[in-house]
Amino acid sequence: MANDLAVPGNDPTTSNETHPAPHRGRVPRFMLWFGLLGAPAAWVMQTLLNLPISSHACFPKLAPLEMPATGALRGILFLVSVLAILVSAAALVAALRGWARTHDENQDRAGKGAGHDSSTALAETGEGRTRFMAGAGVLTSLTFLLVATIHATVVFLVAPACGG
Amino acid sequence: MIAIASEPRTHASLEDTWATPPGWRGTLSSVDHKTIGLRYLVTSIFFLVVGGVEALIMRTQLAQSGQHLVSAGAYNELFSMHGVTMIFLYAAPVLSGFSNYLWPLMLGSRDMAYPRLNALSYWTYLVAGIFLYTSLPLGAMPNAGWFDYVPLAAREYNPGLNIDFYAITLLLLAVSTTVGSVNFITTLFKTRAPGMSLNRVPIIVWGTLTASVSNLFALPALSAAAVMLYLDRRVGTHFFDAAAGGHPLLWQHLFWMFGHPWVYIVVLPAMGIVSDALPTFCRRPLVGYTFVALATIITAMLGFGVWLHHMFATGIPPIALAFFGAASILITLPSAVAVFSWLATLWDGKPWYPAPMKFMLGFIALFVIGGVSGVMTAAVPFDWQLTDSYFVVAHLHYVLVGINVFPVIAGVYYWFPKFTGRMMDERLGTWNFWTMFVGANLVFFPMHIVGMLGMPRRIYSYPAGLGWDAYNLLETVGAFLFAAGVLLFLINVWRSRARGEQAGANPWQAGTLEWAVPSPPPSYNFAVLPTIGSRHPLWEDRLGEGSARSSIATGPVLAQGRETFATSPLDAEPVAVMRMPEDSYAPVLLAASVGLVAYGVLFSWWWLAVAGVIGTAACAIAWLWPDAATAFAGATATSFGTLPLGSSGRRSVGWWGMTAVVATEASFFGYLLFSYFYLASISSNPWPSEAPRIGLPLVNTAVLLASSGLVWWGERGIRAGDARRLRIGIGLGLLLGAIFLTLQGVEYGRETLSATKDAYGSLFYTITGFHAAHVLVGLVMLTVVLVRAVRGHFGAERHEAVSNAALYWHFVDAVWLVVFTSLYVAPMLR
Repeated sequence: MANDLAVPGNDPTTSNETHPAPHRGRVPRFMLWFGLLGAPAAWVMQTLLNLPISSHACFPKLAPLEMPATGALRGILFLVSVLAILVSAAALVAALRGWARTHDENQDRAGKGAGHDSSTALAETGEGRTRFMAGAGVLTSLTFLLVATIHATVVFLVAPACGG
Repeated sequence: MIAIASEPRTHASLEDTWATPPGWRGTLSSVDHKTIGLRYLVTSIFFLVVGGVEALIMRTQLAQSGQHLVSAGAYNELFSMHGVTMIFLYAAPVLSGFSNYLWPLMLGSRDMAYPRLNALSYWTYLVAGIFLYTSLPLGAMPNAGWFDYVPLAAREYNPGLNIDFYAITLLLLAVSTTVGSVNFITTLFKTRAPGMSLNRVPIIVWGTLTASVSNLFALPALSAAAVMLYLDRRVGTHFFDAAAGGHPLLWQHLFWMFGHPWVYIVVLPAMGIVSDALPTFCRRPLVGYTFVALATIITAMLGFGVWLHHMFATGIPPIALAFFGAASILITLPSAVAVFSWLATLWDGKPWYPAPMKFMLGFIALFVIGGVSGVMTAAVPFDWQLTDSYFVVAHLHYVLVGINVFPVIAGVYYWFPKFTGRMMDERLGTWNFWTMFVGANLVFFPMHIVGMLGMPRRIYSYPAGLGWDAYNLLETVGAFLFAAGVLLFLINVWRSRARGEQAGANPWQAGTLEWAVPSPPPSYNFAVLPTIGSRHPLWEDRLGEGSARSSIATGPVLAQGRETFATSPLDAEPVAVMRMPEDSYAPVLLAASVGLVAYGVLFSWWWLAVAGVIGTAACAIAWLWPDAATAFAGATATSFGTLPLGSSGRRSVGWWGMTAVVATEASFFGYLLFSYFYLASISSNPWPSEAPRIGLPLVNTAVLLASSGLVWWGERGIRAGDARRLRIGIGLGLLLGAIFLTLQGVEYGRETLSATKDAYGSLFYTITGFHAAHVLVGLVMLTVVLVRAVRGHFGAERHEAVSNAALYWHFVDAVWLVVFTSLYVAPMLR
């Protein structure tokens, strides 16, 4: 049963020459996704762990404490933050490796609208799906690495921890 | 042979297949995404007007000191209804309207992935709106603000039906929004035109996708809170009762875990409108497409980690406030990326300024003002000074009016020619813009000042001599000017739909795919399904970008039924030819049945609630009944090779939908368990008040795990073509699931705990009860699968329903493991 009619010579999904992601085989899919989501996931865990740890240390029951219930509060918060930073850094490395392996994916096809320069192809038109995801991973990892680092820094900047 | 879009025979055949019949039958049964999109737009703008009238009454009251146009109680109801109407019935649904109408046209498809679910989403939204406003004639409108803090909203202080209307409305809207979100996510990942890889979709698609994913994880917090509130008020549980181990701050946590992501949910698609429309009027592509797409996602992600900044004044330890203050400040980074991208596009383009462009420029100005006042309140000491003052009212209105209303009006001006085939009046549009822009700034900017002068929000009157009078009068004048602008907009829409200038397919010379079809589009959208080679299919000759040239006028027809391509998630490679369902009454009847349940639960008319449940079940069965028109029908030859017909490939549409449902349901349990551990950590009562006995639940855990194993074994069997193994596996799994529920009933009978004794008991029964309800739903799914298996519906290449039911069943079992560990094992470790 023939359901549709052929489109000759212009099928961007079957020929590697015209495929939107000709370098998709160069980067394992896990690496792309880890690069994209690893750092945000680490920050989510950092926030979801440090909030209850600090709240419980300063506000264990219905009445607040002047000083944390444990003297190791800042150390524990910092340790959680260091773990988040390490995961974010690993995600950044994964994203950068994907970025390096796809450096020329469709970058000559950015077109005339792309800031008049093919070197800005990815930022302008997003051409090259694999590179698009790898580049997105670099930016996501950098952003959340910054967020996790500032979170770790404020652990030491705020004094006193419980307001007492 | 190549199909050409202009062939009359092709159009006639497709129209015959896709058109909705005229009259009331078509009105009630249509699943056309364009019809549903327009209904969303009209209904939500109706609610915008209703909410606006409520605002005008409030502004009239506040125009001068000491006025008593309305009583304090009526004023409470007005500001509560204004907030609920604008946030829940206007701001999000209006964006669903755009996305429903535009997505299939932008993505090169013939409809959304789940057309009937789309209709259900709309009808449930309408039922929710009608339900909420039933409170008006009954004199029981919600009256504790749009975020409805307890204990003010508790039965002790608010004994009428007011808050019950609020809680049940939110649950109805959660159903509507969740099914809509599942549909958007599946549509994006499964029904893009061949060649439209993930990096080639318009920004509004990124915005709506991000909002939809956020909905899956944010809405369950609100649903959990609404359920707890209803139970506290009507059943006597103690979730928010500090004297019995609960805590009012639990409400605030759950509400804002939903509430802050919701802010981004109602602005990110609107920002997408601007990102897609502004380049058209600058005659160049958006500068930094990749950055803007990514900034959209990062903003939503960060939006989940800043909820506490709504609770800075609740006594939370400073060190925890600091984490959230920092994240709240950093969220400006991705927001600024979008602003700079729009400015750079203006700078590098050749802009012209018709009405939609004026609204977009107004939006950028209001966005910056609202954003800056938001950063100010991210600083904890500053927030402490201004919390609950009019400064906050100013900020949130700059955000919501600036980033939602202005882009929405811009979007209507921009896509009105596509909706109707006619242009809106440009002169009236200019008047419309200036009245709204000046009005918005007049009403909202002085609120910053009056807030810093100490005027608290939500007061119905104020004495003279505090220095607030002149500002309030100015605000009232601004409010009426803004309302006049909205009136001009409505007049323009009304006049232009019949008398506007003929538009043609692409009056703005835009570059995205929706402008390739006639205005208004035919019922089938595309006569031939397009093949995409770049991000701007209509600007390719001008820009020369992309890996190939898009093919729009010639290509595959797919006209042997309601057919469209299913494509792969990342690169949109065709994987199957899907057959879409016909028009159906099931969605409207299902929504009406859910409405009956809502009224029954509100008034404690249990006979009505039971009738609604029976109606809902009947509609669900009719909906899920196997349909020959959409069933797997072998293979078909296409220009992309031989593809399965009546299927959607390995990671099917059903798989995406079920995965999304599992994600949102898992979040729901996550929020319930958060509540459990939160109250456990803060309660001054013994926790647990009585340790549950572990023996029977331990046996039950083994029973449920065994059932999961059997279902897995049966599903593996059918994948290998063994139908007998499927029947045995599902049948035994079903039996063990029923044994689990029976044993849980036995456990409840033995348990001396009570849901109404203290918060621990309330949570124990709520968590295990909701889990039991999920087991029951899983058993219904497995029963349907078993009946179909007995009737020989499944084979090695056709077992999508089996896999989806199995996925849900494994999820239910996995949730039990977490529940069992938290409720039964953890107390033993203390």
